[in-house]
Amino acid sequence: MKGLFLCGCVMWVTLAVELANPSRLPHGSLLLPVICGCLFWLRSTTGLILSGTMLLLDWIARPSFLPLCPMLAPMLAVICLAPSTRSDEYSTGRSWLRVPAPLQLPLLTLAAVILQSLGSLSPEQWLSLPAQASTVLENLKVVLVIALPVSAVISLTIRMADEFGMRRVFSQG
Amino acid sequence: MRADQIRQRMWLGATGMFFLSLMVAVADRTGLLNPFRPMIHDALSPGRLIVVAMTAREKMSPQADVSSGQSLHDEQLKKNELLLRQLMIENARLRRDLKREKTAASLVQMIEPLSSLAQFRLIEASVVSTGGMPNSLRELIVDAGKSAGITRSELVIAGNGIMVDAGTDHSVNSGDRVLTGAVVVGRIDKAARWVSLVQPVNSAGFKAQVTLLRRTPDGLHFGVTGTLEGTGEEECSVTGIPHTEAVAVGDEVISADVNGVKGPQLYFGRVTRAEFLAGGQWDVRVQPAASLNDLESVGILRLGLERAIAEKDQKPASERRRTP
Repeated sequence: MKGLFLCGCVMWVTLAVELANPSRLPHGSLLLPVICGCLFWLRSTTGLILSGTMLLLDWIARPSFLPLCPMLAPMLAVICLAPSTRSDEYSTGRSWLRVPAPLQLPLLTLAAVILQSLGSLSPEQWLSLPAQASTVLENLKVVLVIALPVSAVISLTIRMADEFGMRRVFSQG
Repeated sequence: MRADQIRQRMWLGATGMFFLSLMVAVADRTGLLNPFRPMIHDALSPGRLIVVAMTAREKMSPQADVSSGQSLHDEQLKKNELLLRQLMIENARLRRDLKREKTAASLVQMIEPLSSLAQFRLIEASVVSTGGMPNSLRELIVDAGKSAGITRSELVIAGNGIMVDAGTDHSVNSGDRVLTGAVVVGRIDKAARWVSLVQPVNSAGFKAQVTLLRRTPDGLHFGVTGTLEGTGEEECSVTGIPHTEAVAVGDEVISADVNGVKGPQLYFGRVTRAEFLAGGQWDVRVQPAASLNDLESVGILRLGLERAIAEKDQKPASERRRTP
C-alpha cells in the first residue's frame, strides 16, 4: 500500500514537472519512463491499474487522437511482468521472451513512446504515413533522448534495490 | 497455481484498462470530458507551480563562476554602471512621457467622461495544453484561474498584433500614428482555481460584436457592425449585417467593444467570403487570425473600475464613516 501511494505521488509530481516545462520536456519524455518504472517496481495488478490510470489521466489532460498508450502499454507490461507457469519468480519473466531483465524496462518505455506518437497522429496523417515518417521519427528522437536514459537509470535502481533487498520480489497483486 | 492466478488478474486488469481507455476516448469525442480536463489541470497545478517557482529562483540566483574572478567582477561592475546610466536616461524619458500622457488622458476624460470609469488590465498566462493536436480535439487551457481573478467570458488575446502592409506607397511616413491591435484567441469558458479553459474564436457558441474595417487608397474606413459567431469549423461567420451595407472580401474584422464596454480595438481576422443571398442577407465568412498551434502565452483582458475608484471602494467602512 505504501509502495502504491509513493508511486502515485511520484507519477503525479512527474506529470506536474512535465507540465511546468513543456518547452524543455516533450510530452511523455519523463512521464513514460517513470510510469514504466513504477510498473516494474510494483509488479502487481494494482500497480498495473494505477499506472494505466495515470496514463489515462495524462491523456485526458493532454489529449491526442487516440489513447493508444493507456490502451496497449498495460498489455505489453503484462507480457513482460506476468510470472511464467514454470517458475514463480517474477524476475525471470516468460521463457519465450528472452530479453535480459535490465533491458526490459527501456524496451517497454520505447514501446510506450512509439504508441504515444502513433496515437497522436490524426486520420489524415495516418493516410499519408510514409510522407509523415520523417516528422514522426524526429519527434520520437526528441522524446527518446530523454526517456531512454531515464528508464535506464530507473532500471538500474530497481536492480540495485533487488540486490540490496530493498524491494519485495513477490506480491499478492 | 498462484502464478496462474496472478497472471490472470494482470491480464484482466490490462483488458479492463483497454476498455476503460476506449470508453474515455468515446466520451472525449462526445464532449463529456470537457468539464474534467480543467479539473485535472487544476489538481496538477500545485506541483506545477512549485516547479515553476523553483525554476524561477534558480534563474534569479547569481552564477558562482561570475563572482569568483576579480576581473569578471570588475567587468560586471562596469556593465552595471552602464546599465544604471541607461536606466536613468530611460527613467527621465518615461517621466516626460508620463507627464504628457497624463495631460492627454485628462483631455480624453473631458471628452468621454464615461470611459474613464472602466480600466482594462492585461493578465499574462501561459498555455498549459499541448500544441499540435488535431483541431477537433484542441482545447486551450491557460495557467490563470480564479486565484488571479479570472472570471467567465473574459477575452483572451495573443500579443502579436495586426501587420499593416502599407508603406510609403500609401503615404505612410515615419511618425504617423499606427494602430496595432492584439489578436483575439477566444474567451474564458470555465475558470478553475489555477487554470482556465478557453473557448476559441471559431468554436461553436463564441460570439462577439465586431466592426468591419476596409483599406482603400484614401485610407482606412470603419464599416458596418455585426456579430461574429464561431461555427465549430475553421472559419467564423458574421451575422446581423443589414442588406443595405457593403461587405467585401479582404475586409478586416476588429472588435466593436469588449463585453459591451468601449475598449481597445482587437483584431479578429479577415473576410474570406461575402455572398449576398437570395433572401436579402449577407453570408460573411471570416478566417480567424489567431493560430492555436504555436501559442505559448496569452493575455487575458480584464475589465475593472478605474484604480482610484477601486481603491476608494476597498477602504474600510469605518474609515469611510469618519470622513465627512
